[in-house]
Amino acid sequence: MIDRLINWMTVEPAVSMLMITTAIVLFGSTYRSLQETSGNFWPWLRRIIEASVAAVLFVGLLWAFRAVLNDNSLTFYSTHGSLSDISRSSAWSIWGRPHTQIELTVSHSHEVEVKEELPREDPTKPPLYRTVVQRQTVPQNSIVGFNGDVDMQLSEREKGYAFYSGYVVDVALSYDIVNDSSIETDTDFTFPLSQGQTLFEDFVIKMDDRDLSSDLRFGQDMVSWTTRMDPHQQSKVIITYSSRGMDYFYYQIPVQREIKDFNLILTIDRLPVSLLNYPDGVITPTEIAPTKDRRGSILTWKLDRAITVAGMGVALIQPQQPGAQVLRVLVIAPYAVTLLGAMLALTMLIWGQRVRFLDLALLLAVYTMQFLLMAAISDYFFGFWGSLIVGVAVTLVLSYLLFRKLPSRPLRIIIYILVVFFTIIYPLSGLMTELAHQNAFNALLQAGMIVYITCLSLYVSSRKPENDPAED
Amino acid sequence: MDIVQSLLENRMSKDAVAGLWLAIASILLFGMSFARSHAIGDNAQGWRRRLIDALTKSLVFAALSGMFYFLLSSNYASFSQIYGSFTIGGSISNQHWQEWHNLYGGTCTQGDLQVRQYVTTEAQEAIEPTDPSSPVLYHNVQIEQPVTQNSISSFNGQVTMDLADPVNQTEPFNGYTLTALYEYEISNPAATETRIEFTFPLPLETRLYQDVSIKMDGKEVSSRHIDAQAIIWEDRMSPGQKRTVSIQYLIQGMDRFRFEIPEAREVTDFQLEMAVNASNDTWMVTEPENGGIQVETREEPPYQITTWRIDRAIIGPRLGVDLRQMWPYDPYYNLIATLSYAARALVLFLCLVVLTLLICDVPVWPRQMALMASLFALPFLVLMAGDFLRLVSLTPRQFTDWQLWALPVLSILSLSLAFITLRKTPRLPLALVLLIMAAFINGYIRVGLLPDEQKRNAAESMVQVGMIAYVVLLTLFIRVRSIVRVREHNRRVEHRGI
Repeated sequence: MIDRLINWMTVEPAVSMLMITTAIVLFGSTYRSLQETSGNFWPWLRRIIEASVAAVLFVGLLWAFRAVLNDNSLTFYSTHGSLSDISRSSAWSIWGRPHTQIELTVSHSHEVEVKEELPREDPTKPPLYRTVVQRQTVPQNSIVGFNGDVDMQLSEREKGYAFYSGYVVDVALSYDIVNDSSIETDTDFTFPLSQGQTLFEDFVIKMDDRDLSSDLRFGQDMVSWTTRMDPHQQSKVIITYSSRGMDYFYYQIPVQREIKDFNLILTIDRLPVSLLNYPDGVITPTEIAPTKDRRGSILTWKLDRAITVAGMGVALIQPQQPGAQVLRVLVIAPYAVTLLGAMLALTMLIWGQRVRFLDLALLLAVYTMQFLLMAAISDYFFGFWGSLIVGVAVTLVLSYLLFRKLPSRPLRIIIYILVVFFTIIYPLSGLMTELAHQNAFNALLQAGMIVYITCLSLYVSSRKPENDPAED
Repeated sequence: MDIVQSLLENRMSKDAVAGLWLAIASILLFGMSFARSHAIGDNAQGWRRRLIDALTKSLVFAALSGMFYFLLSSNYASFSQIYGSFTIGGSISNQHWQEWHNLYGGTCTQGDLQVRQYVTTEAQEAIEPTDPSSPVLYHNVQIEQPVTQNSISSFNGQVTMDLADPVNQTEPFNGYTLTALYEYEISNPAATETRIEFTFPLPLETRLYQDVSIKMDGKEVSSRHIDAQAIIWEDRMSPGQKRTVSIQYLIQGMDRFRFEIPEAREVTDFQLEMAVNASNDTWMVTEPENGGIQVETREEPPYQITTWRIDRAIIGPRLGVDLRQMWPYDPYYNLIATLSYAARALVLFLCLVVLTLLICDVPVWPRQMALMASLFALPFLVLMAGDFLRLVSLTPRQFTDWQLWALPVLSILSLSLAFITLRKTPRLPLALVLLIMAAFINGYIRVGLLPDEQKRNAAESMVQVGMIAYVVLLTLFIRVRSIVRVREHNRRVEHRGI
């Protein structure tokens, strides 16, 4: 139990501290309010027990409403944008994985007749030979030019309750191949397919305008073929296909080679330049330009006489999930209800009023209703802003009715201000996505609460008569 | 309970002094509260109540101090996680550094060209028969024997490093663009023709090499290939032949550049010239520093040019340049360094306030203590909001300095509210509490700005000494004052009697 408490304090230091402080103040206030002057032990112990019950009741009440709101946000999360690894894998298996295109590899070999010496008994005799045929590789850097044209059309996919950043990609790759040697070679071409990809359409490979479909061998995510190339023959291999993918596109030169006359153009139809992002381990484009309609981006990598194994590509941003804004507000609702409950109790205690648990419970219930309403109706009627307005209106009206009979007008106004702050401004802070902004808001909120409590305390003590005991 | 124990041990080991002061203040508060609660009664039940009341008061004080300490510590942890140096994963600086690292790659250590020459000879090799009764068979084999003499007779390197716009960049991490041209004169020292292998190592952390050119005697080497992070090619050389190899490339890197001959060899006619366009933020590295390397530096604006010369020395030099890391390395350093002392300052402040009130015979109330702790934490919480309110025209570094100087202004609010809170307290303890608050908010935390740990420890020790001296002197002052007052009172009584 204590370990859980410490864990909670570690995760939510400000909220936990405020809650515990309020409970201690409530304990002290209740203890003082129970008039007992006999000096006997048992009546004193009774005061202690009653004060403890009040403190525990307060904490229990806040915990109960926190639990309701925690459960509410978990339920909402389970059906709104829950990007679990399982769902993602499932979406990959249906639509296609991130598309990783590895460069065509070309290897040359030829058969040569070599004379193999026959062992002899007498070393003084001249050697005897026999002729054998051997296959020898002809090492060379055959790719002397490359033009790649990749068109990505973003196509968000929905799987389960979440959206994923899917895309359709049209790929046209043109390789300039040369047999740089002075011998005729058997040339093996190997074109790796993106691993685990579900679909390749319109897959065509042409060499010097000749369709190689009948020569292609498919297997293990690879397409390979063999041709003969004359000495210093230059050829053009054009590979085109359409495929699909998700999350990112990546083109890679797998082994270090000298890259000559390399030009890759990647066009993304609906990803503006300002939102561009790159997968790990890529080199940034040499040129970035917007598309004509300025809704997309054109990335160009131009390399010549270069060496790299870093890839080239783009990472897509995660699409806005359904109910994402509502979810962000619901996630902070448990903190909000705790803060509101604690601040309300502290306000009343500093004001010198007893905490009426029924009123407190009703206010917390009304406040909780705001978030339950948002979770329930945001999908069907009004979206985020509409559901927020409806929830706020209901909470404010009911809170007004709840406290309208409070005898002290200033206290009533203070309570209304508190309710308005926690009903409108605090939930909207959930829309901040930057960690630095969230941190700033929380720090300033804590500072604001300190100023509020101090000022309230000073205001209340200044209204007390001079002979009134000022301290607890 | 393990987590509680480890938390307490952790805190106590980190802030042992603050913990001890807190323990002392709590014990004294307990003792004084117990001693001053005679009104409840001295019978057994009354004694129990007095004991529990005093214990509760001191425990509430300790708990309050602990909670506010925890609050500031955890806020500081969040703040440093976001605004810490680039070595803290996920911090703003780290994200910027990652972007630069992705763009520029890492450090660049260029190894020397490795040249191996082989002389081919023919020999007869006996093939041992598997059957002992069979005769031994022979065949001719070609054997390559390495040429042991040094093949590199001279070296001339020219490296130009341009820092990534050190003046105008808003985030000047140490990115640079480097062009290099290395010219080697290679000779065949053998009396026969040799097969020669060239291996030019490529720096490991460099992501992209551009405009790569390798020439032999002015002709591009087309037979080169890349294997095992090196450019490799081979050729043949006649006896006594000399050839010139020139290697050229353009790369980008960060932090430093080195040219090294990994294994000591005889180095003759070696000259490496390096031009850097930001001399103030770099320093040249020459290893070993044993006098075998001549170093000359000259200015040719915008470049500072350093030339290393070695002749007829057996050496494995490491030559290059280190770049000094500047701003976004840790732009919020001043705040990170000072705010780390805030939580400890709070505990020490509360302890001194309690001790002051007890010594001055003023009752200590938990509500007052809670308000004091809150007001003390207030300016630090505002600072820990980070650069949320930063004006666009200010850099984070400027804003951080500005924030630190704004701390006294922020503390005025705390001091004013503290004055109003304690306005019914007698003048001396009121003034002392406000002074202590001002000193700990504006003074104590600046210990963090001292440049090394030794100085920081010394300053903290001085603070402890000051606190002890303050408590002792205040106690003596109060005692002397009460004696003087008693005497004055007696004198007045005597005077009235006369």
